[in-house]
Amino acid sequence: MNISKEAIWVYLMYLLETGIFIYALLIMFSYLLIMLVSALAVRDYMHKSRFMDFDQIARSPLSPSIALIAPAYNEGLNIVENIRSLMAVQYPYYQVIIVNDGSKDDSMEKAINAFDLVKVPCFVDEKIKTKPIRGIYKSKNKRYKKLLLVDKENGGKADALNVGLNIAEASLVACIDVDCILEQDALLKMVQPFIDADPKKKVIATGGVVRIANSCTIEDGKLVHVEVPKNYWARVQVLEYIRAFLLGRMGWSKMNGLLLISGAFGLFDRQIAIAAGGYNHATVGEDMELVVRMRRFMMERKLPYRVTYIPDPLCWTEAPASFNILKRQRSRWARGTYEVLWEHKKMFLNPKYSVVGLWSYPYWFFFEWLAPFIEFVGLLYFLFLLAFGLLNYKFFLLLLACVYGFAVCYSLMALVFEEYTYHQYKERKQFYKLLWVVVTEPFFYHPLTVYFAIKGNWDKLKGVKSWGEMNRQGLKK
Amino acid sequence: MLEEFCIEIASFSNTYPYKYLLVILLIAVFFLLAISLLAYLMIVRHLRRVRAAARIKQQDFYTKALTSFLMKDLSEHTEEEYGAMVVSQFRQYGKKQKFSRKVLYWSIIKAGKSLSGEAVGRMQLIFNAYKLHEFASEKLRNGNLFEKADAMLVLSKMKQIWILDTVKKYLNHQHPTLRVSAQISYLRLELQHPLDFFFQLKHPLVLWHQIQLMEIFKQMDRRKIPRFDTFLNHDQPTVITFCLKMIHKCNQFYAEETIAELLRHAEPEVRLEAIKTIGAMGFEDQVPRLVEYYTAKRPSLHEQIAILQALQSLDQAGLKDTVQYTLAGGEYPTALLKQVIYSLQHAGVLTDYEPELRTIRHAQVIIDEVKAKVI
Repeated sequence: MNISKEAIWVYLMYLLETGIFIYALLIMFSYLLIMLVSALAVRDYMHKSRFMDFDQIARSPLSPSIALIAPAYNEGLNIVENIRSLMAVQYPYYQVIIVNDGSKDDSMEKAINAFDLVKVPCFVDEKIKTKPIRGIYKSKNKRYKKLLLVDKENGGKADALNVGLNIAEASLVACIDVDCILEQDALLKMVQPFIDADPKKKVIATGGVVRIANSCTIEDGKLVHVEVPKNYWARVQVLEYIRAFLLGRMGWSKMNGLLLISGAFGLFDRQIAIAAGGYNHATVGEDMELVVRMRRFMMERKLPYRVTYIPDPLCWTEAPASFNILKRQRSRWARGTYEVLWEHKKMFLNPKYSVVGLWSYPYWFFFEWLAPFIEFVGLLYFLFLLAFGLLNYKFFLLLLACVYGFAVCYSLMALVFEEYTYHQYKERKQFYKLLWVVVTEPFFYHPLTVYFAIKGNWDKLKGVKSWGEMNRQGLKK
Repeated sequence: MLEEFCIEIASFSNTYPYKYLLVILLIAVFFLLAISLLAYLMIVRHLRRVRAAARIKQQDFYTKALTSFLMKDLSEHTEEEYGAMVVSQFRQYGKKQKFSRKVLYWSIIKAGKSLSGEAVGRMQLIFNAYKLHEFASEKLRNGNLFEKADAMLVLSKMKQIWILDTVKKYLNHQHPTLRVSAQISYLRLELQHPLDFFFQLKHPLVLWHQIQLMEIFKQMDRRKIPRFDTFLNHDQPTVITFCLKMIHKCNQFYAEETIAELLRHAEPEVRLEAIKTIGAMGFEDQVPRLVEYYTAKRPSLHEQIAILQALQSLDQAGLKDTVQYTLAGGEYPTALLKQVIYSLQHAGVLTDYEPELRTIRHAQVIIDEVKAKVI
């Protein structure tokens, strides 16, 4: 049978078009499905939280102890204020462990002077191997008795967090970025899934919603006024974070398939985190990697467990406000995703890992990691059709309207969720600013995220391993 | 114009029939959805603002009125008169009956949280006079599970004893929030035998429930606090651990023997809590049992540490024996070694020992140093 070359081309084009079309439908369907589950999870949480009296947790002798671990590298500019902010958190039994990861600036001196710290003898149970510790410091001033400063040789964020895990004595550890602003009741809220868990189904990790603090007002380490960022890049990330946390992670948490707890703020069962081997030095996606490994650890031993998420905005962080820093951060995230998925490829479609193996991992693979490539291929195909005059403009415009409509609806749903839960942006002007982002983001921001993701994977192929400089402008104080 | 568009689309649909139909359909759905969501957001935000303003205004009024009623001299009025006064005063806000009743309901609950003694009695009077118990009991009868739980907590706070039978139905309910609300309500209302429901408990007492129950006991008249040792043979390990914590909290010393028996319990959490309770309550007579358990039964690391800590406060001789036994063994997890050194320092054996920063890499060096000083 003779088939002409032209016919093969037409057939291949038809296959590609249909493939991309079906992929787009699947991605939309999966987003909607997760959003529906998220809605149920948020509703349940809101009902339940009415019965949570956080004052009772704050004064109960039964509340579990928590160690706050914050790695610091060259944070000399803000280290004193950042530590003060962490020390102001409300919780009955907690310790703040600042791990200086071999800073080259004056972080150590500043912290030692500000908090009256002295070197103390201490045993470190090196259950996780780390770079050598130079010294452990405690304050002579009783007011800072909760503070412990660890000085160690530089080994990266994962290594610093592992030192914290080794040193902490509390049953739960909260791993946070030192420059984050925690809500006063952040720990009281975060501990709730742990203390409310059935003893037969242990909660091993909990995450909380991270929000963007650019343009917000901060006084004495506390967030006093919430504002939509003035900078467009930061403002888009507000919407992006609401979508990711409220529409995505809440749903995965309900299905017990959550793979990522943000490195900015997460609470972990210390024993399980150590038993699973702690943070992985070899990846830049160490936050996601730890959660996946803890899950594997539990599932391979057939221990019932849960990883949960709560919709409360508990931690405020400064988002990259310039193109270059955003590019570095997003490329790193894409690289991290690839590294984690590759490291745990055994879980892919493996029924042994139940929801994670059959749903979460494939979702991350097909719709998180692969999506930018498919979009990129779609774009190349569009350019090809355009160049050869083969583009069917009507269908193209209809398809564009459809995808755009979906993106707008999805972002509006995120705003509905935000309104229903914590209603952070109260002023009308702020709301309109967010609506403007909803309308413009698919044209200006989304294509960039595709580019960043592809760049991240390209960097991985080139063997890039560093985090890259992440200079920030600083928060409004 | 529209006709042309339709013809164009019809011709186009011949080329891509299913894709075309689907895309058009999706565009229509997304368009309608976007418009609805936008309208919903606008309306919700507007209503929220309006309602919040009204609520704040009413709350202010109710808070002031409640405070003045609580302070009023009641000697010249009967309870009925007092009730009538309250109703007439609050009727000022009776135009939007349901809304204002809801606001008053929550104002009373909020105020009730920080009140005690006679003030609570007066608050109950106001609650009954304004017939808020009817509002709450309606929720208890026909509300969803969370509303039922909420109504139960409110009615029990207002000492509405008549709900006790309903409360009993939910003491072992599948839904944890409803279950614990029923348990709290039972503790508030059943004054003779408040812990009776423990006998029938089929679900574990999670830590959050324990915290809430402990809070109720804290507010209870100390003379009415029941004996917790009655439940130390319960099927649920969490009930036993909770009772052990309460025994310590309420200084129920008569439970010593029963607690010591728990060192033989099958569940490690129960044994650990028993060790901690023995140490915390200073049961010196149980030292031989602790030492025997440490040396003969090969307890877990957590239990070993807990025993050393308990012996630290109970008996120096027992502590030294146990430490020597530990050092004579072959394996020393760092956490245990750390506790051994603290214990020896406490016992006055290692007063001059100031270990520098050490890690597990130096464990053998530390052990040798300690052995040289102790054995």
